[in-house]
Amino acid sequence: MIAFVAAIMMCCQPLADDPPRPKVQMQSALFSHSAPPGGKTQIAVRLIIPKGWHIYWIDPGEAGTPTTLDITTPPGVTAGVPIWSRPKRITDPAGTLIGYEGQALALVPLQVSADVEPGSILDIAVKADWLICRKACYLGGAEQVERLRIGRDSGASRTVATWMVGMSMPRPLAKRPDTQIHINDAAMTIEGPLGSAGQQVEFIARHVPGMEYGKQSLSVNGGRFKLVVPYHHRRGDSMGRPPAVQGLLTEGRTTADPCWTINQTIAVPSPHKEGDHK
Amino acid sequence: MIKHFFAWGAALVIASAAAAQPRLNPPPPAKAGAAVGKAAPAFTLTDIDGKTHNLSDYTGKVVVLEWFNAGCPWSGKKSPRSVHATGRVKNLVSEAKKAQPEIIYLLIDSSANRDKETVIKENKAARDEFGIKQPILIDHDGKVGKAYGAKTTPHMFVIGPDGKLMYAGAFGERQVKKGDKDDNFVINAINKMKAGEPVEPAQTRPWGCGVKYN
Repeated sequence: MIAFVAAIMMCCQPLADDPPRPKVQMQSALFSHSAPPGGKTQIAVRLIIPKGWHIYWIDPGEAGTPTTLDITTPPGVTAGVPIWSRPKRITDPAGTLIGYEGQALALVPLQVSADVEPGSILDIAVKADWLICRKACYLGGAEQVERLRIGRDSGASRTVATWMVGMSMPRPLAKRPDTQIHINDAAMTIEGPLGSAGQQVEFIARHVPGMEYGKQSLSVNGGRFKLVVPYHHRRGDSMGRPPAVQGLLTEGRTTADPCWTINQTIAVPSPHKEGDHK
Repeated sequence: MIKHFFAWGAALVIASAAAAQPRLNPPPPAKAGAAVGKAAPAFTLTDIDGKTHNLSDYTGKVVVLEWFNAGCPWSGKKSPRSVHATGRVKNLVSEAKKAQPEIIYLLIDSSANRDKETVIKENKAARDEFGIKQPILIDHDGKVGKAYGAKTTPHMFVIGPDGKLMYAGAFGERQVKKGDKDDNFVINAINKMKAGEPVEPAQTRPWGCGVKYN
């Protein structure tokens, strides 16, 4: 018996330098606990990451895998595309990563059909999957269910409002005042007034097959910035996807500073264009 | 066009520096690693059984390199996503041999987050657990991994019989649902090479755990 217990202990003990498996805590909450037929709400998903570890944005950067959300809704409710809080660049021996340390927040729009019976209660299931890394990597995941009551809008949840403190949620660049974006066949240029977060303005790219970015350059003059992001499109590596510039324009240094979504399709270069990968 | 592109990029950088304006912090990393269409970096590595492998030994054959880590759940660790535990590598090798019977398939482990002896011990355990038949080469100082620009486990490289790098990037689609075809970019490259067609895609974004260079 003693030998058996000893054998079990030996086989199941981690190696001396094996870091303990990190535990990501997932929380979810509805933006409003009830919504009327034909109305809208959001489900918020918060991931709390242990100190020293990171998980990845929807584009992990040079290594890693994206954190994913799967929302299962009953008939009468449809879920939109999740909006993830501003990530940060993380320097790793494998390259520059894009991800989260501390916490991540996602908001998923929910649309209620006009024909849903008032008074009904609908279950919205949330499933998140992530890769969490430090010196080692572990896959993780969690599932939760939130109950949405169909009826008069109950107003914003205090829980979600609390979670959003200190988190920057991206908004479309078109909503940034007096800001212009120009795309040609070699570069994207964004010009606009500096915001309250100061002179740090940067583009974080979201990977589109075949798109490769050069070094971005920033100039500031008279309270305005100009950011130029050169790119190259390798048609042969695009796997049939049209060329597009996707990502975030970030201001300031912290994940609480503003960020803006960019999603611009580029006019398809002519097939004989020099430099395209054949 | 590529030269023009980077020359233009460099000009932008110089121009912005000359204007003494604030610079990005941190700047995007410069591209490093082996280039598709160019000669694959030469290497000499020893496998976990002590046998030495020179890339030059395999001239005239198609060589596939797979960056490997026995502790990564996408690579050599038992997990529902692992390319070894799920049999995706076995399928790849089997398909590749139909097109290139003499294909050389090498796994390379550049992990330095554990001592070399532990890495070898873990690789031997993974080999036994998943029935890996291919040599596992140890690159403990990471020189070969960095020369190739290996970022993830898995990260795949296909070298043609003439020693040129023909494909660099992902193993295939990250996740394959049950019943769906496993669109493997390595098989695609090997088949295109056999057919004498351009390899497309020749570069894709790899996924997996970051290579543990330290």
